[in-house]
Amino acid sequence: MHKNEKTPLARKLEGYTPTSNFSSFEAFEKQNKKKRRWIILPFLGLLAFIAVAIVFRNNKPNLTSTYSPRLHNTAFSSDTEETTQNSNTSSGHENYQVNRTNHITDQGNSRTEKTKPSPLKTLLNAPSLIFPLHKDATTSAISSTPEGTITDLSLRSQLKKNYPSLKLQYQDLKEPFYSFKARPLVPREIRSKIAKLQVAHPSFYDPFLTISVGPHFAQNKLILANDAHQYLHPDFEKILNQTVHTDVGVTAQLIYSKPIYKKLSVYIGLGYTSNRLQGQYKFSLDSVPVYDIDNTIAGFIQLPENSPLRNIDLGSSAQQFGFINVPIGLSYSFIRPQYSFDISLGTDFAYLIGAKGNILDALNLAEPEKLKDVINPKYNSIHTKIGVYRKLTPLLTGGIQTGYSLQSNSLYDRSQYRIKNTAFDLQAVLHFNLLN
Amino acid sequence: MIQAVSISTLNNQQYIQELESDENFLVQECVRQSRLAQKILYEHNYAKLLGTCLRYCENQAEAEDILHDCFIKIFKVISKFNGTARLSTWLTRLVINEVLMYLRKKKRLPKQTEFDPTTVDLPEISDEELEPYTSNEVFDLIRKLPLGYKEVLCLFSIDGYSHKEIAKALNIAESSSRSQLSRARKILKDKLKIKEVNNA
Repeated sequence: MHKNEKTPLARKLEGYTPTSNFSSFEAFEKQNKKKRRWIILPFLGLLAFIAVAIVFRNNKPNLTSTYSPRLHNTAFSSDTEETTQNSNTSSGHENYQVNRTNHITDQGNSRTEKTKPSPLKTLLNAPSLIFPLHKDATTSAISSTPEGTITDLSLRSQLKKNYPSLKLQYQDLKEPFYSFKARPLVPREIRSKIAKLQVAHPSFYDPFLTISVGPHFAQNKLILANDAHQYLHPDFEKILNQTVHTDVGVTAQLIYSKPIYKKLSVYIGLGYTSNRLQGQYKFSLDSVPVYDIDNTIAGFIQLPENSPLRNIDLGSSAQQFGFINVPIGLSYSFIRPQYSFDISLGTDFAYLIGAKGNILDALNLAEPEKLKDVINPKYNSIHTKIGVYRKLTPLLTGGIQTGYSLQSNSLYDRSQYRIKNTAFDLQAVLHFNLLN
Repeated sequence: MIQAVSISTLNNQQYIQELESDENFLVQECVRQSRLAQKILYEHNYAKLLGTCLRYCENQAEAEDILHDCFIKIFKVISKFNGTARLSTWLTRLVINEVLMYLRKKKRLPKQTEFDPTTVDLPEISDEELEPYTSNEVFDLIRKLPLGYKEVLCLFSIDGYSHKEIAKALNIAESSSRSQLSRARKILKDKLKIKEVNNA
């Protein structure tokens, strides 16, 4: 400032007080929430774009590495492909008959015309195929054991059922890849599956995109930050400890994970959680505060043994919450053909988008407050999880995971005390792999 | 996930008193993101800061919008407040910077003007000249000053910036700042006289 003394103009304008609808802090918060909603939208759009881009990128067949030079050159013509397509509705055995006929008649045509088939058709029509299959692929549609046997799936049983004479050969190449040879004259519907399997995990470092859905159950407990004690009624922490909270809900998440080193992956996701929390409010107090004229606490009176306040029962209260969350973290996975096991550690940024229910008053001194006015809409936490999963179908994996989370910010929006929520949870999940 | 025991039974009075009386404690609690501290800071300073914004903006809606963004920033960067100046001064400076940045984006800041040697350095408008008018009337007259004059007059005469600081903030020469201030004072004095005549 160029001078400490105010000019007459500045002094005159000190008396000017503009009026505004936003002069209260509540109005500021309300407007802030509205604005934040708009801020989230581009982020969600970006995530959706990345998800779609990944799906498209991974569905693009990159077949050059799979076309083995050791294969016999007896490829079907491109016309065979079209004719077999028409007979997809018939049984596998009938397909075999029809295809065989077409194959014989069309083979000559294709040789005389010398048309160069597209890479996709080359693969689909190849008499025998080599598929690099990663043995650590958790959600891969096909898995292989170190002995080189394919433990799939509907594909293997379908092949065996319809083509008893068909021989499946396995050749152990360099780790972590295994090869798989199939003989010719496999109808298109089967070959399409093979092609899909091939593009699923062409290399170790390819990412996964998974939808995971499942119910969960959690046991919650609140903890106080150390610096809160100086302002608190000494029984408040006791109340927190004695109150029992459980929540049940459903979580749906879109998770993008990318292996970074051996069994270690990073993941990021976007999810929605709907919770119903049930609280039983039974607790006892040892003392009650005595207030001074200026409303400060003058001291505490020890309650007699038979005081009703030593056994307070407020009953139960149910609260409903909806969160959008973004989990980010690292996971370490052990994978077997049918089972997998993983440990993860990460952070979760959640935003409250809906809250129903009231908040109970511990001493019945105030009117119940609406939950959404009290709770901090931001719920950030760190979490660790352990999960065990079993492959149910090529695309679907089911499992159970248990974990612990610790809130990193304060639960109450309006409180000067930092109160954090902790939760042990158990969740049943179904993973649906989008990349297959 | 959420605990449902209210903290309304706890006594906040002492805490509130401490926040209202001790500026450093208020800042410290705002850094800790205490909602109560933020509320006190907001409500105690809103009217004054809105007045500051209104001096530079075209309308109230624009001023309110800018001030909203300013408060978001204030709560983010309040840890940088080091206590060398008063909190209200620090907040005003921050708001003025934000407003000027906004005006720069909208290309509504004065352009470089050449120094006019014929411009006489007019003295500050005196208390006597302002006495017949209410603060609202003076405020309206200032807001109606032409672009460039208004900003320099407000920065120098009301917000206490030096010509050097104005030159830096508006990206103009110091001499331009001086001549625009003189012209602004002259226009304002003329307007005050006209108003006085009309009132008489």
